[in-house]
Amino acid sequence: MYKLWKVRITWLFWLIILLLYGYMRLRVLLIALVILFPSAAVTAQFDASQFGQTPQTSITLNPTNPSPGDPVTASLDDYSGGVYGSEITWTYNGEVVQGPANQRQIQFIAGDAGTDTVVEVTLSLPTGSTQTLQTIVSPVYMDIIIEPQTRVPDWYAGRALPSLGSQINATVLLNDGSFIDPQSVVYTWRVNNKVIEGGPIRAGNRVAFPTPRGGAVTVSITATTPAGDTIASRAVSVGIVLPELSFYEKHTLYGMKSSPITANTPLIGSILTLQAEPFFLDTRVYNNPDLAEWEINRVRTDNGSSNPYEITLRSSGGNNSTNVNFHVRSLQQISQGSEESITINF
Amino acid sequence: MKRTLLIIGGVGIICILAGVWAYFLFFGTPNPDGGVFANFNLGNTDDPSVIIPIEPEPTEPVVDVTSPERLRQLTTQPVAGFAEVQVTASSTPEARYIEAGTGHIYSIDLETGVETRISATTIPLTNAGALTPNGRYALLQSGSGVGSEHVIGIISTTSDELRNFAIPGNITSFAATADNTFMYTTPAGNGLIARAYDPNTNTVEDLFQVPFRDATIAWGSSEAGPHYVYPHTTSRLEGYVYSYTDGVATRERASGYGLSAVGSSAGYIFSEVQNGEYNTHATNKLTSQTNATPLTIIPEKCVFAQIDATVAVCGITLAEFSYQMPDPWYKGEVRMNDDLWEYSIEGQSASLLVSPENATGRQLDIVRPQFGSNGANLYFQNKIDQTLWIYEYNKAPTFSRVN
Repeated sequence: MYKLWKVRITWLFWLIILLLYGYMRLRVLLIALVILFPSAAVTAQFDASQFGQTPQTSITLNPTNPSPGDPVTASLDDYSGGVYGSEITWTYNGEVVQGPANQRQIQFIAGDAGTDTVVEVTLSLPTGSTQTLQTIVSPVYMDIIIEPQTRVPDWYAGRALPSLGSQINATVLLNDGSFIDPQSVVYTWRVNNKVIEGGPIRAGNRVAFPTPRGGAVTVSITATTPAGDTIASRAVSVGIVLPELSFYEKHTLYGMKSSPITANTPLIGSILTLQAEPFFLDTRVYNNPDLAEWEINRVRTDNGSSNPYEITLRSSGGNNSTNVNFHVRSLQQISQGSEESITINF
Repeated sequence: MKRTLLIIGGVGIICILAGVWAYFLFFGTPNPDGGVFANFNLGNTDDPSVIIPIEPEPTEPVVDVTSPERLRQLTTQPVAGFAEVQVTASSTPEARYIEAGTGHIYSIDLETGVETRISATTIPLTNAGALTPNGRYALLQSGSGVGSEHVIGIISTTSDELRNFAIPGNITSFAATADNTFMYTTPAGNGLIARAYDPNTNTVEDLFQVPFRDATIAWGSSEAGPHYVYPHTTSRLEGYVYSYTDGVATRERASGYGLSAVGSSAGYIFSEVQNGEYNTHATNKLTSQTNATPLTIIPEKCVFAQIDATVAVCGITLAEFSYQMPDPWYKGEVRMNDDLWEYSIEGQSASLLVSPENATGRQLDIVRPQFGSNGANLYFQNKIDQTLWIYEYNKAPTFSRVN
């Protein structure tokens, strides 16, 4: 038994020795190769041409992805020094651009959506040879539609505005003559420079996010093809507002009047139904307010209606003025609320 | 006297009293004009200071249509919708309107000025409506917000009853076409879908889709369009204009803050806030040129003429506009004192048609301008009181020119 174990350990020892020998041989071989062929190794690691960094001449556009009608500057970028002493001729859709000779940049207006504009520059080198560079401008509209989910009355023709904590729905529409199918586009959304939705999303042309703190929020979008080519990129600044409260007279038959009540508004009759309209209040707070209080002459009052935003006032006779106060607020998001007073002269 | 006789006499008296009571019950009081309980002694007609209002005969004109003035007020009550109607090719044009609050429909004969109520069916809280030019159908909105309802009304020629039925779903915008159909938008997914409803055949047809919800539709006069669509306007958010013709969307070269637009097949007018100023531009689609207009216009106050698609008639206030426009005007915080102007996007010039304040002494905040069937009359509402006005457009001379 002891003899058998001795044989096994001997075999294992020789196997380890063999593996170590092989490993050392391989390393020595690699080191020898590097020493013998240093340029080949460096070239393999740092061949700049593979990364497009060979000094070259090119046309760059500013903006890179223009919208139709945008003023565009095309510049000749010469990192190789080959343009020195050359005659420079620009053509726009095949026609020579008139103006001062040998300019390194030109300005033009981007064409309509869905049209390609060919911008070419021809370099007549001092050596007598010519070099032609070309770029194609394909303007695309990138429309960012912001739809804040805050309260505005039904009759109000304007758009709601975002207030702190409220939800913003944003939609981006790409148009190159017709709406581009979102399924064929990868969208990267950033809110205040932070990528949202976890990263780029294919067909993600619509997102929702809460309004952050601050006076404005920057929303930026980059749209690329699935292969990674940029189609368009834009950013918009969206101002953040506080909810605003206005009072409107509500008629039993006609509904709300089109102008808010002010201290100078003449009121006819002894009964008045007031509607408090909290513009730009988060719709979730509007539909379920933690606090919705009416005060008449600084005394808290039950409005006597199932609608917390409505109160009916009755004059007690004679000419009198009444102070009416309304306060609506979320107790979780304190800035989601508004309070306003008005003096009613019967 | 016997006890029996007393009982018989008592029963007899009770029977007589019951008979008298039954007579009064079934045949009324003996003196029919007594009215002692209705007479509260509040005065009588002998009092010379009492003025008894005389109800106008229904055949007498209530609207002065023979006045030489081209601008006239047609109603004193708020109006929810209106249209010029010509029932047959040979009949006189009528101005028809839907009374706000009640949904009653009235017709004003434009030759005689006689006003007739043609629908007495009450649809409470009516606040918007549209009428087909043939005068047969109405689309009414009652209530607002999630509680709003929309009904199609079929106007009877023999009675003042409006047969009506509700349109299911939430309708965000609607209009009547020159071809006697209705167009409307309803939410679908994350956007809106525009449909056409033909009340004659009771058929619905999809027109186009809008890929967002908060959209304002400036409807064209036909289902084919062009209809101009843009996100609800605010000076604090960017907007973009799209036109839809035969269901095909075109992104127009108009974008900016406070953006709103109105257009025709020949071009469009749009206003926006640029560098802190509210400015107006007009684009001529034939030349693809966009130029600043000589006057600042709120596009919602404009309508393009039917007989010339390059000409728009607008309510214009000659005043400095705030950089926050048009938000304060939408809220009702700012009122306009409009004059009626004609603007040509071809000639890039504006001509004054009439100044309502000079002509009538009233300040008008003109909204919902709309031409009559042959383009001769322009109808609009005063935003302040929602009353209906008419301006005889074809007879109007121009007074001054601003280039």
